[in-house]
Amino acid sequence: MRTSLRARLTSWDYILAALVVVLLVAASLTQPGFAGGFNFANSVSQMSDKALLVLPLALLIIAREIDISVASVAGLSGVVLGMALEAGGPLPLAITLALLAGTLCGALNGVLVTFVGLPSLVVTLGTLALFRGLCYVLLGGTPITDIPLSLTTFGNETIPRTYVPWDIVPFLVLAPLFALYLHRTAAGRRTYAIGGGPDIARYAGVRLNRIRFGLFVVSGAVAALAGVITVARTSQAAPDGALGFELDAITVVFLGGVSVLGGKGRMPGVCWALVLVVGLRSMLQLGNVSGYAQSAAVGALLILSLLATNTAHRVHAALTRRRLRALAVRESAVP
Amino acid sequence: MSGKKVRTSAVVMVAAAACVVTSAACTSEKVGGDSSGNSGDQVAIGLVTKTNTNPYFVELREAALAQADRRGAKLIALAGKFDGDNQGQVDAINNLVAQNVKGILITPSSSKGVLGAIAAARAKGILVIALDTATDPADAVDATFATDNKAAGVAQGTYVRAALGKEEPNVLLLDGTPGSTVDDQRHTGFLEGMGLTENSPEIKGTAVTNGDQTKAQTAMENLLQRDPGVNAVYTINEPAAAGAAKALGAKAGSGDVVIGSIDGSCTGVRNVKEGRFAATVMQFPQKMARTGVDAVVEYADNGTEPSGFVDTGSQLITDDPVPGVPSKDTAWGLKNCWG
Amino acid sequence: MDTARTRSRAPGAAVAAPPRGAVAMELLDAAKVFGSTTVLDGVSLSLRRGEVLGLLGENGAGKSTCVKILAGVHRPDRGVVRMGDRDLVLHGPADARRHGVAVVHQHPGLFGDLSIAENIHTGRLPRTRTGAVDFRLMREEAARWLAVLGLDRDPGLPVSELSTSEQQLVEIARALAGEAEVLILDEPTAALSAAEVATLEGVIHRLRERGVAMMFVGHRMEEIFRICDRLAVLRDGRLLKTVRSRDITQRDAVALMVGRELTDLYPEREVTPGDAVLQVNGLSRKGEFEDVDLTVRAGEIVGLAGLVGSGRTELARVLFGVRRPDSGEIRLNGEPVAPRSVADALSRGIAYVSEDRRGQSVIEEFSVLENATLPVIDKATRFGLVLRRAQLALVSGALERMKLRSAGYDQPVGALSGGNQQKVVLAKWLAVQPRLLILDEPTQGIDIGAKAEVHRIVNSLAEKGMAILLISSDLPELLGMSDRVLVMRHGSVAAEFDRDQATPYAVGLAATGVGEEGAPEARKASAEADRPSGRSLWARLRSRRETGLLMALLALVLPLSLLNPQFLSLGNLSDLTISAALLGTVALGQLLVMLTRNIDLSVSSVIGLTAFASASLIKDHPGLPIVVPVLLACAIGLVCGVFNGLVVSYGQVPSIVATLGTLALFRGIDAMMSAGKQVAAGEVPDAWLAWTAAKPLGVSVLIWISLALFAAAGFALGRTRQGRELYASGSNPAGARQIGIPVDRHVLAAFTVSGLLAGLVGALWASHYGTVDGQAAYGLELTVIASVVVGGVALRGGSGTVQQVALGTFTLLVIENVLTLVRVDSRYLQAVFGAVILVAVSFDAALARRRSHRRAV
Repeated sequence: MRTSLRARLTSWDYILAALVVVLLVAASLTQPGFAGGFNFANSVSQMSDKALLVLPLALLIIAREIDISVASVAGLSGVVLGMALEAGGPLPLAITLALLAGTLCGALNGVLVTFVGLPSLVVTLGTLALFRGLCYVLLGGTPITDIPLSLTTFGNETIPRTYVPWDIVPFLVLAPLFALYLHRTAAGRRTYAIGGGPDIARYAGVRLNRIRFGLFVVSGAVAALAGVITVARTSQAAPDGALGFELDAITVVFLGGVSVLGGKGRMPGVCWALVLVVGLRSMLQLGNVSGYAQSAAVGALLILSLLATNTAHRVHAALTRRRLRALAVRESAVP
Repeated sequence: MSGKKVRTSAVVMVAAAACVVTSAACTSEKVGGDSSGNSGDQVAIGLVTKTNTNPYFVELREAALAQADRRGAKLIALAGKFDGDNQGQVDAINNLVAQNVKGILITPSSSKGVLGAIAAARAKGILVIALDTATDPADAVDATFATDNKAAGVAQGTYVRAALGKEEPNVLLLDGTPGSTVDDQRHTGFLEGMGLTENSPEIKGTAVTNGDQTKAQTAMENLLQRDPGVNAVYTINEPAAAGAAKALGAKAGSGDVVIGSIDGSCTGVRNVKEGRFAATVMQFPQKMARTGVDAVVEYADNGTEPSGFVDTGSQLITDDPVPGVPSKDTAWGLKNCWG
Repeated sequence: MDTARTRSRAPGAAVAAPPRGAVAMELLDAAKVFGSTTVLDGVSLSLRRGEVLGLLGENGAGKSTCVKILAGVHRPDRGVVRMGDRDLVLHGPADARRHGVAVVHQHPGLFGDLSIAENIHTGRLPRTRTGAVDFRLMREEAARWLAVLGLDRDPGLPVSELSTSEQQLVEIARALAGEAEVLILDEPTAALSAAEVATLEGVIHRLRERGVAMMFVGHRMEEIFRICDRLAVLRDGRLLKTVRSRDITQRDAVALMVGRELTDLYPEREVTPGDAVLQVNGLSRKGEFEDVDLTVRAGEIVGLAGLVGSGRTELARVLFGVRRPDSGEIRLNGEPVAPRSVADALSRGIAYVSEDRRGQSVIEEFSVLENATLPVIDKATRFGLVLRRAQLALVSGALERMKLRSAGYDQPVGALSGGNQQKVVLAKWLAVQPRLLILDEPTQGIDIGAKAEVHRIVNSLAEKGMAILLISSDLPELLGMSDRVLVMRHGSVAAEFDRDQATPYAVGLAATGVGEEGAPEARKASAEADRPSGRSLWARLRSRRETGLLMALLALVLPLSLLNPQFLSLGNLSDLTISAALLGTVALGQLLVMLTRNIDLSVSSVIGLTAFASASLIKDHPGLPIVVPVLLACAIGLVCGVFNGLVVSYGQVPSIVATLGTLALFRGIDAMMSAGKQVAAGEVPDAWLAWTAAKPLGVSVLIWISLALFAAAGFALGRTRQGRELYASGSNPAGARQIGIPVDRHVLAAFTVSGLLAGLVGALWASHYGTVDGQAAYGLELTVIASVVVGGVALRGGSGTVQQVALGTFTLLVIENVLTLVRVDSRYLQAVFGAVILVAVSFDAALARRRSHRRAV
């Protein structure tokens, strides 16, 4: 996956990085308060749970699967957390139960995709509804608001003497691990192979179902962690916790250069895309743009970026072809 | 790939870019003063309502804007995406803090969920006042300017009970957003006024509507399928009542079904006048907004902090008064309504 | 599309035979450059009526480029294509077809979900006088063509139920049915059995009589020499010689192709076989092979001969752990083994070079290095991290030995020629250092030069002690390389020969069973025809998705209406059908989009946007006639749909991504437009609210509207050409494009209609609900997709009907209704919908699996 392929992908990474820089500079200049520590901490904290969702989702899409139920898993795990706390359980136990719940959800997705053999888009569409519905079934409509102080501090405070919010720390720890897995381990290569050619991978001895199942379970567990962070940030366990997060997560993954066909994409690009979306949302928010309009901007960004890459690619190919053809015709005209 | 296709996609791109640029330029969400930086010494006040679409909150916002203008202050008005959007309100509060406002007026969707953000704001010396809906606990904010929601609920309940006369009540309850004091207090008040409890058999059904008309209509249609014999409906606010009335269709105005509500918008009062609602309890959002803005300006000028609960009042409006329940008629209502 | 040739010629029609030998089509001095490579340099070919021209050449000689130029896929950079006396500029494959040029490819590009008859006629569906598709005529003609080709199948059968070789015959029928004056056969026999090849030869002969000009491209010399009248030999993009096939020997032809004498095609080898590496006893797998005994010793090459379908590849797959046997024993070096998976087989030292290179051996976008090290990637790690150095160490030796011609190991494999790709594959398996190497058609589709190199390498491997099982349909190769030859027929070992005893004649006899009691080979096809050709009506109904759904629906409804008579009340049913009308109309649009293999997540946002727009309009201008806001809503929906369609089809953004973006984008525009405002029921004129409440003939107008739309859609999809082409576009987009179906336009149309319908529903919504704010229809897309999926429409495209959509919509709403009446909280609804989707899809998967099991038997 080097030279020509890498050349193309790294150029997308560079484009993203450049866009990030441009955005940050523009925002700092035009939006008072953007470059402030409070805003930084606030904006980063707001995306800390969505950022976690991005990691396993990138892996899954590279493996030619998808999991659009991540936000529902996060919500359900948050609900489990809240219920455990309400029942009087200590915080560590409650968090463990929440993670367990998420892992089970991921396992359900995994079983349906690998064992029953259903396409992951439909499965996770169904579980998106199922898990979210379970939130309402378990909790009714009333959110649980009795959240221990240590958790809300985690969700709302920064590390002392810095502007780094506590809730981004899980992402900072997990992101490098995911990048390492994807780019430097054998299992990561196999993941790429599954996305690049599932039959070929199978005939090369890759244990497809094992890896796919594992990816879904990890997705569930990480989503559960994200759900815990959501509860911490909003100081409540609500049935609509993490609602709609999958849009941002998927946008970041595709924006980051991961191909929807599988087999292509790199972590650095995804991280740049994450920063871009965080920065964009922050800038718009300070401009008092409503949540819906912010999402509209993110949606437009997604479409434009993909159109841009496609068009650039085709223009480049057409120009090259024309140039070389002129060259060749001239050459063959010479006796 | 033919040149034609390259051109087509280029056109698509330009069109898409134009859309985004236009939409970014037309961010009419920036209601209120121009937010391109603080203009010198102008006091900045933040207002966070539950939604942007409920006419009640629209009224609140308009009144606040007008008052801010009069006092020479700048008002930044934000809202959640829907009634119950706690996350959106938390984000809004943080946003306002980043913009260095002096005070925040908030109608909390979730009475507990915003506590963290409010505490953080107050820690920075920002005055936080709850409007219309109290937080839980109520002293998490500096002051609360609101209707006495319990009393409003009791008024609605007492009236509905009396209006039913000798009939056995068959009640449907259309609630607002769970987790909000407004919801709890009005609901409890209504039951108290009706002389019922949570488990009374007279209650045939309950639904959550988030104060949204379409949701209320759908919920009412569903409930009616089960219990067509309903004769009394509790509604959290007038949009919900409008939805219920639509679902009932002809039955709403015939006197068979007693619909009670709370809000006091001019549309609502007209509905009472035309008989679709039996009665409504008027609130005074303009008063809330004005008092709120004044309080923040005072705080900015000379540090006076308001405190406690200020009851902005409520009034039962009906054209069929019932002895023992004080009310005003729709003529008065139309003169004092909002919206 | 509708120019000259829209009628297909009936197979029996008498045709005034144009003079034999007259030139039908010519390529004059054609040159073509790709990138910096000159692929063709001044090639002139002439295709004459009533004659078959064979095109010979190694891979990379330019054969496929010639084919593509004649087929209209490429335009020559220099030179012309001439037909009759006119110089043609072909604008694409559809253009070429219109001029009477048909191409039959190696891999059938058919539309799996469509019937045989439709496949034969795709792109030029016959029409009745009323403009609808003439299915009866199609079926009759199809039946006649099938008879000519000897394919005994019902023309109404979906093509996906045919075997590969049967599908190829359908492809040929399709080419023939299109009034082809020129027929180009591009490696058509690769997957055909000897009997099928004989049938094809018969057909070619008949076409010769009719005066069709033909060109045949192939790799098997005997076939080419038998079938072709003249031969054109290409080498390195130049035409060396055109000669009559009886005026040249096969050897000389090969020499011309390769440019050198090839005496060492099958090198000599010292054979000293060691101990038995592989011992197979009584291995059986139902439906594939039975009671196979086989031994391969170290240093030995055992050849496995047989016709396509004799069970050789199936045997190899079992040995490699892809499938499991039903009975029998496998021993490796004396130890019994039972490979449960490919990874398992690999760990025991079994390697398998698959016959399907593109599908099973190489990932074309990945580099040479990555492809070559994939099976052994674990060995290239230290502390869990992959090291490039270690990767190179594993495979560079093997790659060097293969004399791989490539620009470095990081080049994507797809850029290499077929022969070089196969070398990468071999290197990959050598890096595994297997004890047993199974080669399945190792030199299929690669040129003579590369073939010789592969043979050399295989020989040297045997000399070093590897046990090799060679499966090949190339008899000279098999006989030249093997020490022993086993012949399989119908799944059992029919004969075994030593090197000296194995002659082509003897092997051929054993493989076909000619001369032995019973079972002539031509009956191979009948093994599959053993299936009951016409299932009873009841059986057919039972297997249909809709029946199952209908029964599930009844199972829900009947007990419910007993429990609660309210359910069947007029009021309830009427409410139900109104909701179904709204939801169903949107679902209809989604059906069209899904048929093209796309998805439209933005429908709910379009509904919200158009609902608000139409309500605002009538609020601000109450004097306007009701039609105007409705038209506005439809117009906005149309624009949204066109935007989606353009981004997906011409912008080539995958639809799930594009519509996820527009979901947010349209909703954002809605929010900005409606900011702080709400259109209340009291603010709009009564006429606006009343028009959806109207009940002509006692039935809500909404139901009338949706019924009309469903009927129109049903007709359009089932009976018009555009509708059938929509199915084709989703079933096999590449194939559709190849035969000239404007796939992009159909995708654009599908999205446009979806947007239009969503817009209409927006107006209906605004009127029905009275009050509209920026949140209208939020989250509806889930319900829409659920309805469509539950109804049985396939997300992979090409399959689905309006009846299924209607049923699915109804089912979902009935479930909702049931929950309400049973006093289950409406909050549970979402969970229930999710569960229903999962159940529906699992059920479909189980059905599909059962169907494919039946087919494979």
